[in-house]
Amino acid sequence: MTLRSYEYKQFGESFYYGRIKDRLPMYYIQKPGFTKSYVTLSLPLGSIHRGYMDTNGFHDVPRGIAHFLEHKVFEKDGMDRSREFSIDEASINAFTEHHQTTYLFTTANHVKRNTKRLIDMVFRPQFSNKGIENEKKIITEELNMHLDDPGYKQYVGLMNNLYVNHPLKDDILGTKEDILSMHSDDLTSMHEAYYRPERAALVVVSALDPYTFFEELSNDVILPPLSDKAPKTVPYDEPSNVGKASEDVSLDVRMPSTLFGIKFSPSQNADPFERIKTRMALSMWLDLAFGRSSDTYESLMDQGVINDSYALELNYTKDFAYALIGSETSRPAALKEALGALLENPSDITINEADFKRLKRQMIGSFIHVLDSPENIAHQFANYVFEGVAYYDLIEAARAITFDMVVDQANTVHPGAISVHTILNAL
Amino acid sequence: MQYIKTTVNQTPLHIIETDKFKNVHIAVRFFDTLDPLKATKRHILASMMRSKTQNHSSRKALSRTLEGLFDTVLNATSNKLGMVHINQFELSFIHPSYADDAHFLNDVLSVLKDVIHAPLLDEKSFKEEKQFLKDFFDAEYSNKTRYASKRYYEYLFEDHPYKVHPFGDETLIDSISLKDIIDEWHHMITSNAALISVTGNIEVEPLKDSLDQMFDLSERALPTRPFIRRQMQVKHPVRETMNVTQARLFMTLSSNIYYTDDDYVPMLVFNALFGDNSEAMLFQTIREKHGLAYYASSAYAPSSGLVTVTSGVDEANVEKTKQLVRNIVSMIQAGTFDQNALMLAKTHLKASLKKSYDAPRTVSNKALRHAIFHVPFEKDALMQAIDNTTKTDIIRVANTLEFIFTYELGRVDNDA
Repeated sequence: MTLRSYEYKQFGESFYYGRIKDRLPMYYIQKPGFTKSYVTLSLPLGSIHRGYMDTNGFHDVPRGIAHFLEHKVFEKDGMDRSREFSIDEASINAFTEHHQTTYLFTTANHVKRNTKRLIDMVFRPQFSNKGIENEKKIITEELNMHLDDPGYKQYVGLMNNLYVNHPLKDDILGTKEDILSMHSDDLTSMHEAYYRPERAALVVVSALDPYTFFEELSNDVILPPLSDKAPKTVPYDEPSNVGKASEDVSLDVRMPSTLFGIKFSPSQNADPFERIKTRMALSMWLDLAFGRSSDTYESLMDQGVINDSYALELNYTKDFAYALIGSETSRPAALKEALGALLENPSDITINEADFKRLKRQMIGSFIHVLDSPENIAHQFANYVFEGVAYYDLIEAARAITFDMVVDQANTVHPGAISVHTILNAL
Repeated sequence: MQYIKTTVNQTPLHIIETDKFKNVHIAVRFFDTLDPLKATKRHILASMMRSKTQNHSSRKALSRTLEGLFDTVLNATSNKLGMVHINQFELSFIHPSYADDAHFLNDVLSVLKDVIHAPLLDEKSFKEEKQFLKDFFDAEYSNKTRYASKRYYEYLFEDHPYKVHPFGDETLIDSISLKDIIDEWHHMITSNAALISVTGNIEVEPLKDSLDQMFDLSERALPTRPFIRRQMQVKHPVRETMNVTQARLFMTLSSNIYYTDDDYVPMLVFNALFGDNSEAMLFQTIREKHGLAYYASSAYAPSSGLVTVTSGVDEANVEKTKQLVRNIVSMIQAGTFDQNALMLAKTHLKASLKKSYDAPRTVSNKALRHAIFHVPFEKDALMQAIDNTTKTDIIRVANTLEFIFTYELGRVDNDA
């Protein structure tokens, strides 16, 4: 297969798409003048994926296996492959989210060689029992570190209340018992089922010539054979209402905090462009209703129920969608009441067309800000390719959104789909 | 990338001209002495200046203006470098060619001018920002990794001028009045040394003309090499306890090597070998070989000559971890490390250096360090110095190091 190019002359950008050995999708963004190259390889395996399928049927696996596998992929026959990257001037890392795992490296040299190494490492690891046992200790300490962070505990606690049956309710790392129960057979089987080149996405941001890069990589790389294992795609029976509407937890803190979660049903439109428009319309509504330039924010500030830690976040994929709104606060009950009242009647929150137009200008600016960062470009691309859209198409999606589409998003907030988690001062 | 040093109304203006960025970054920095009361006032002042101006009389109004200027990002914060306190105002905006608006650049620079010369320092935002600062210090208690770090530095620098937090002292917040803030603003504008850095694809002369009309700042000389050469003495180890799941460990090594000393670059290489990346000896030994921790690393501070080792381990493994750290230092001091490890450390350091010119903000920070500490802006001299560093150099700088302090935040004993 050859590379296809897509130009976005308005921004002086272009990206290229091809499939390595007709299997592994590659998205290449050329950034002339940049010394740093940034490469990501993402797999559609996250904490919400709880098993695999083979000729014997479905197999469940422990929680946290996606994250454990992310750690173990770096091993080849007892040795840590990070050193190979370092010798070749690259820094490698990885992270696991609810819906995907991403491996990445940055380098100022040997981009093609390190990319070949990354592909080999991710698709052809070799686990050892000794390595697995050692990793259990390391990940246990990672979990222990997080358990001393009230913000982390609040997030995990809220997700556990927001979702009833969906695996989003579980910690990405799993529990200590899950970690200690990891076994090489499960790791190997999950790897075979989910770490398929056809399902992955390689994103390269570099100054190098994309055609030469693609050709040389295609000639050199070795991909794994096909497997009889497949991802488990059983839909979860998740009700629209939350499991628990409110929870207060007393911890060793001096500053309480309140965090609201809103569960949404993501768009199931078959057209990915339409799905992204719906996602962006919801994001815009949330910004206009609750963002830092909103009347809501000003009111909450004037009431003294939030401080400058106030944050708003939307996570939206084709499989799940939720928003988080919260702040540290010395008046958690008052914040809970004030935000709770607004969320009960979201259609009463006034937004106007002038604000909407201003937000569109902001979105264009935000898009351009990303273009100066190879990391941000790569990660935004990796976020959207599994949604079926290229990052550069977001501008067109934003332009296509109407004011009415944004106003309508208020109707997607259901009172029963809201949960609030408060951390109180135990002292 | 072209580095141009010029002035605007006697204030140093450093322009890093490059066509690879689609955004422009401007930083205006004000320098003053590092003092607890002054730092507290200056941080409250910077926060208030960020929130409102005479032409944007509410937070909402300023936020909306910035959004409308294609998501122009405005930051105001306080930092310190050695003995200098810095109030920093940054603006990141899209290149005017993408705005399709002839007034865009002028509108953006007008916001920055308003923030600096016409802030709205009123009672309302004064009360809010004082409360936010108190909240910040209260919040440091919550995350135990962050709290442990705070306590470590409080103990380490308890009798040292570096003890001053760039945000000031929480016990002094209530003593500050609005008049104090207004006086501090006046002093900052009229008496502080200032430095303006601009990074991006921007024409120098038109930019200078715009800034000439907008900024009329002090012409005081910039601080030079503002760090204290003080050999720190051994301090009694400290162990504190609270209800934590994981123990936090900090170990301090003292050298007498500072910015631009002959051994500054060998110290950087030492730290790369010792602990500042995942191939370094600390990570490989404590985490990968022994499985004791998720993180184990070291940081070298050239303004104090100190190296800090930090790790989070199970309470039962604290003593073992400390011994492993000491063993690693002894090994390096004895020269018991191979050339491959040294090559890897140098490779890592050079790779990081090469990549560091690809972000506007990092480039701006390099300009700051060049202006204050006189470290070269360009990488060539530093790359050569890294290449020239030998095993003998590493052994020499390692043998200047002495363990002077240990801080542990552990579990309450009856919960162990």
